[in-house]
Amino acid sequence: MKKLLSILLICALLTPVAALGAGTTYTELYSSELKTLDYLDSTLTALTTFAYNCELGLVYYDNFGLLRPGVAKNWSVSEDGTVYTFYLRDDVEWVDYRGNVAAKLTAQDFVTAAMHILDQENPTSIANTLYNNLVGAKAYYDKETDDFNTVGIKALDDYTLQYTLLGPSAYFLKMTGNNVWFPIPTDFYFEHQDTFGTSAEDLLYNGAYYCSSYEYEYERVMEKNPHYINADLISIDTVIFRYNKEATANGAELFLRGDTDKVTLTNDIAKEWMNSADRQDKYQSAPLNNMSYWIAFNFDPQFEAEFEPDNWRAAVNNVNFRKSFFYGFNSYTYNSVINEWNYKTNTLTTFTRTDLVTVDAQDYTMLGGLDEYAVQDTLYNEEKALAFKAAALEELSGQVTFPVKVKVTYNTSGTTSTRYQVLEQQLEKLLGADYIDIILSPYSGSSFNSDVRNAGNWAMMELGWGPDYADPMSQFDPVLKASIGKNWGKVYLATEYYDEALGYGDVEKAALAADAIKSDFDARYIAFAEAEKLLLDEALVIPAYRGGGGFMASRIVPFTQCTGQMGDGGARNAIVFASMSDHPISENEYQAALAQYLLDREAARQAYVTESAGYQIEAK
Amino acid sequence: MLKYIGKRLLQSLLTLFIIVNVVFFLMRLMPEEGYFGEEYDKMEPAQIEAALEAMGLRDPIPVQLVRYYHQLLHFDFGKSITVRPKVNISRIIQQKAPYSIRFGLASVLLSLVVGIPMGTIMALKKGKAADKIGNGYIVIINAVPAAVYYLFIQLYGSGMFNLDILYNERKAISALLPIISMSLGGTASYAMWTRRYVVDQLNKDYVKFARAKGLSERKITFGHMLRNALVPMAQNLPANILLTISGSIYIESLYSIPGMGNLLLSAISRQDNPLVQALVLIYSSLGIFGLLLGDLLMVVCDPRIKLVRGNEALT
Amino acid sequence: MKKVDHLEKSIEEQIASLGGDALFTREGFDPTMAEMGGYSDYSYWRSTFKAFLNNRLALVCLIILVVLLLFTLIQPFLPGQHTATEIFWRDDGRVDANHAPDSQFIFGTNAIGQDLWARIWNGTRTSLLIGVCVAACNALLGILVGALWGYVSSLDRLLTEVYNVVHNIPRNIILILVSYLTRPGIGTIIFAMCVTGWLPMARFIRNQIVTIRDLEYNLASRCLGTPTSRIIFKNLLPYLVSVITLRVALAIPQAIGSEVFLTYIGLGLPVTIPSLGNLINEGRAVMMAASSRYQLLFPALVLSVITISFYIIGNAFADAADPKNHV
Repeated sequence: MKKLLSILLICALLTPVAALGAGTTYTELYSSELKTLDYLDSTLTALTTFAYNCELGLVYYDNFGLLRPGVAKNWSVSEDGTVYTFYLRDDVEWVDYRGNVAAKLTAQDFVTAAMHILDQENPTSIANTLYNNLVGAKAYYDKETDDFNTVGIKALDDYTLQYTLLGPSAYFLKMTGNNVWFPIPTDFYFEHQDTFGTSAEDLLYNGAYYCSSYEYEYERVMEKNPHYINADLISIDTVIFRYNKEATANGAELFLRGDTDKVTLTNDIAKEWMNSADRQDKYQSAPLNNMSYWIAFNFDPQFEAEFEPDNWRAAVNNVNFRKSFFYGFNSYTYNSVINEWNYKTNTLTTFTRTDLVTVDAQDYTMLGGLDEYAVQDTLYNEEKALAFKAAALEELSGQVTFPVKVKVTYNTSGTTSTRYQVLEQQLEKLLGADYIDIILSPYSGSSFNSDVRNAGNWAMMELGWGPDYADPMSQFDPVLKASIGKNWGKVYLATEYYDEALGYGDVEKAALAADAIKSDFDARYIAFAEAEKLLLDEALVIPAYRGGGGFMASRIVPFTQCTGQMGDGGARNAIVFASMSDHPISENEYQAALAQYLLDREAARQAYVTESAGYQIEAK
Repeated sequence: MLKYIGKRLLQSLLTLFIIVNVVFFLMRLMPEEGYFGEEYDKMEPAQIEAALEAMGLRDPIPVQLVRYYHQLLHFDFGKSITVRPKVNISRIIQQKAPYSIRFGLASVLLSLVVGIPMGTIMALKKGKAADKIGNGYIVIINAVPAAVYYLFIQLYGSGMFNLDILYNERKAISALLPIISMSLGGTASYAMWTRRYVVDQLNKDYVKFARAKGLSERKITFGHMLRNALVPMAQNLPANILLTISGSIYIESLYSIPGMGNLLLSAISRQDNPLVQALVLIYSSLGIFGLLLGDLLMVVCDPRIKLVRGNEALT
Repeated sequence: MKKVDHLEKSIEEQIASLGGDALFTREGFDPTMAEMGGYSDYSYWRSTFKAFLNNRLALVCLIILVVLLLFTLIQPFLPGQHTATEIFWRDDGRVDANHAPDSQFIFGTNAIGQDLWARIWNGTRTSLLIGVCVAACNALLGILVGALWGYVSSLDRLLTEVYNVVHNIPRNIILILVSYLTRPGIGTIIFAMCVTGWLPMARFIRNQIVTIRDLEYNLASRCLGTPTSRIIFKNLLPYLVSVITLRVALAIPQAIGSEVFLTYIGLGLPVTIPSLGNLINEGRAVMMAASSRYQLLFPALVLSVITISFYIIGNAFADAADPKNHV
């Protein structure tokens, strides 16, 4: 009876069966839904992933992280470095959600995109990137003028696009690979202005895939775009993104059943797979991403008297006090909470992660004396920590009451609380409860950033940052006074180096000097590395870990996909160019592929020197 | 009777008006950061101002309120602002509601079909093994958190019967586990109430009389007792059915069913004011209307009940 | 008349023939004993208690619950106990995470090397505290408002309207607002759960009172000029004792369950304060790995034992408290 009824009930639920295209299909799970497909809305990872799969900008990054011409054939830069002129291909087409050609791409499409972003009626979070770089953009955004011709972006003709910048920039070209600078189809946009990006039908595509169906909180199906300029490089025909709120928990089981082709393994699942005869060759190390995390000190504490903010201010401005934390913080222990098995690969000993930029095949972290930190596996050193503690006790006696109360605030809707518990007990155990008293303090998530973090209601906190483009300046944002709203710990206030006249200290001076070098990239990067060394020498931040890592199970051939690990690409995670294997990749296969990849990348970089010679041409 | 219904409807209109206003003001007490979520960190103060302006949140609250009522009077819920910007709320609901309604109806039906016979059997076998097993089931379902047993049903159910872990539109059978899981709670509660009301009827004079008249037990149970026992249950049924539209938070998240379950919660936590207002309005009108229907259904089932005089039936 | 006279006569004759006075002797009148005639040694609470003790399953549950309660209270003072937040380390300086249950850790450790045994009892204390506070507050407010609502007809319209409005405002809005305006913690969650939690209780009491308020004995009281408060507290509420105790007994497991749900949707206690809701939520995250499943099973088991006991005891007590079952 019960069975019969349930069958009847199920029949009532039958919905039309949608046929999927034949060919290779790749399925991935995602646990938080996009709020819009309008790829000019934000630079959140989920949206940029969609953008890099479906749309193409002036330039793109290949799987070695090398910059390649996309919609632009080539470009020229004016003498003073402020005017960029891009010469566009005339064969780029927009297709609709059925894969039919809907329009031809012209230079005007880039202008339309800028108009869309700079219109306050479209509340995007990326408008600042435009108005901090382009001439006249801020005035237009602030509605001081309604003449868009005053903005430094112009379509000189159908296939020539010109940007006028506020000043010379060392990284403008790199930035144009970001979705912020992507075009939108002009005519289509004005026809669909009210609904642009709200569904697969309300968007056109010029990238590797077009989105053929998008059902909110169910799935996104993307089909290979035959009109894509590099269509011959695309080997996966259909990409399915399947929504599951519990994807982290369910992923491994779904992978084993063949319902998904890539999942990150949680610590517990990884342990099971390691010890299981039939699964131990089905997983591999997961790539790292572009995020750096560090433990920050707050130099401008704004909290209740009960937690003694003045006492903290006095203590944290002592370099020995900071160094006792710097060397006393056990990053292995801390990181193993996130990544229990290969936590060593995640551990950061510099503020900037590796693979950001290189000078003569040398990684940025090996330049300007920064290698002193980079070559170490971990900064944790008990003897040093205790020695600095003794020094701090001596120097601060009389000025500071011990134990120093350290207010560590955390967001109740985040995951940091578990790590903070480890931090608290590890540091107190090492440095002694007579020296510090770390106090965890929960705050609700709905206004945590504005009312707690930005308001300075903390003494120590884990912070994270990922550069938006491959330049050290982008990484320096959170420690500079100049980056208003992002300098959460107000590092520039550290008194020992504080310059009253300027309002900031030595680190910022060095960073600004480095940023002034616009064209000699080698000198620029070395200068930045020196500034970063200063930051670490004074223990103004404690490097903790790099994002990503751990283990994953995947049927993607390693390193065919573009990810953030690859260098200049930044926070990139796209399926474009990937190819699928018929079996899950094992750790051995992955390690072999990694060795080969590093060789190939070096070769590709060598070849790039000649290949890229034609990209930038003389101004016409 | 019609006058009574009219009066109740008018009264509900007033209730709805108050609810909408209260929710409207409560949502405006939320912190501004909440409108931006993760993007908050990427935005400069000028952008935040502009975005709040564009969402209409910088206007004085009375202006916002008038604008909202203006929309409502044109049967327009407006557009979502943070969950799915620019999308009409009616379209969001149109896309999502059918899933929740289908799953909800199937599970209500399943729990009625299983729960009422179960309760009847328990009542007839009061104190015997069947009753004890049934009671055990009811207690366990009520006491063990659904968050836990749903997980085990999903894990072991899909493993043992080789069913999909996630709901798949292209495979009807993948709806089986979610429907069964969803119906467990309802089954327990229908069984519990049926049992209780049937037990109440067991010793009534009319039952003794029927037995004395030589009616078969079958006829007494189904033709007389059950009919009387089910009357009090009829009151909540319409509201239960109408509110299936609100979906199930647990089940829809676990099985990835794109229904309404999470919509209100995510609308609240992402502070999508128009969406919250629309959903609260819909759910509360359905709830209130469902109760009215329930009262009327009781009258239909049991003509002895008079609504007009007493105020026993609580809206 | 004649017939009756005749009958009387014949009966008297019959009695006389059987021996007259020898059959019937007149008893004296004892006023004290006469008073006693109206006395019964029936005591409501004793009978309730007796009826309850007859339910063996409920008795077992009660014992389990009492033992459990006592244990959660004395557990921290037992020898060899760890605190709920202390982290244990491996020799290499890392946390002793997901340590399977063994002699050192009876229930194993969680993902950051904290003793699950200590956490569960600490969490049980927290959850029971929340449950009892919420249930008490809801019972108090609910009974008070419900009684007024049901008995004072001039308040009916107003309170019905208040009920309809508050009932239809999503609880999550209030919870998010409360946790935004105050700091997350036990007090906050109790407050947030009480803000709307008394409504169902009030409605339930109101419906009960409406059905009994016009019974003859209340009508009589009213005619005799008994004040409203006395009628409510002496006439109406005692009548409802059994159903009220059932609701209160069930309110405790409900509050615990609702704490689990709130944690699931991210509005629960901060993880630094262990509670059954937190522990179950932490366990959910790792339950797909069979070797870590114990982290969900143990707290779920403890929670289930508590809630099931409350249900069974509540039901048994309600049955026992119903005077109809006292004969």
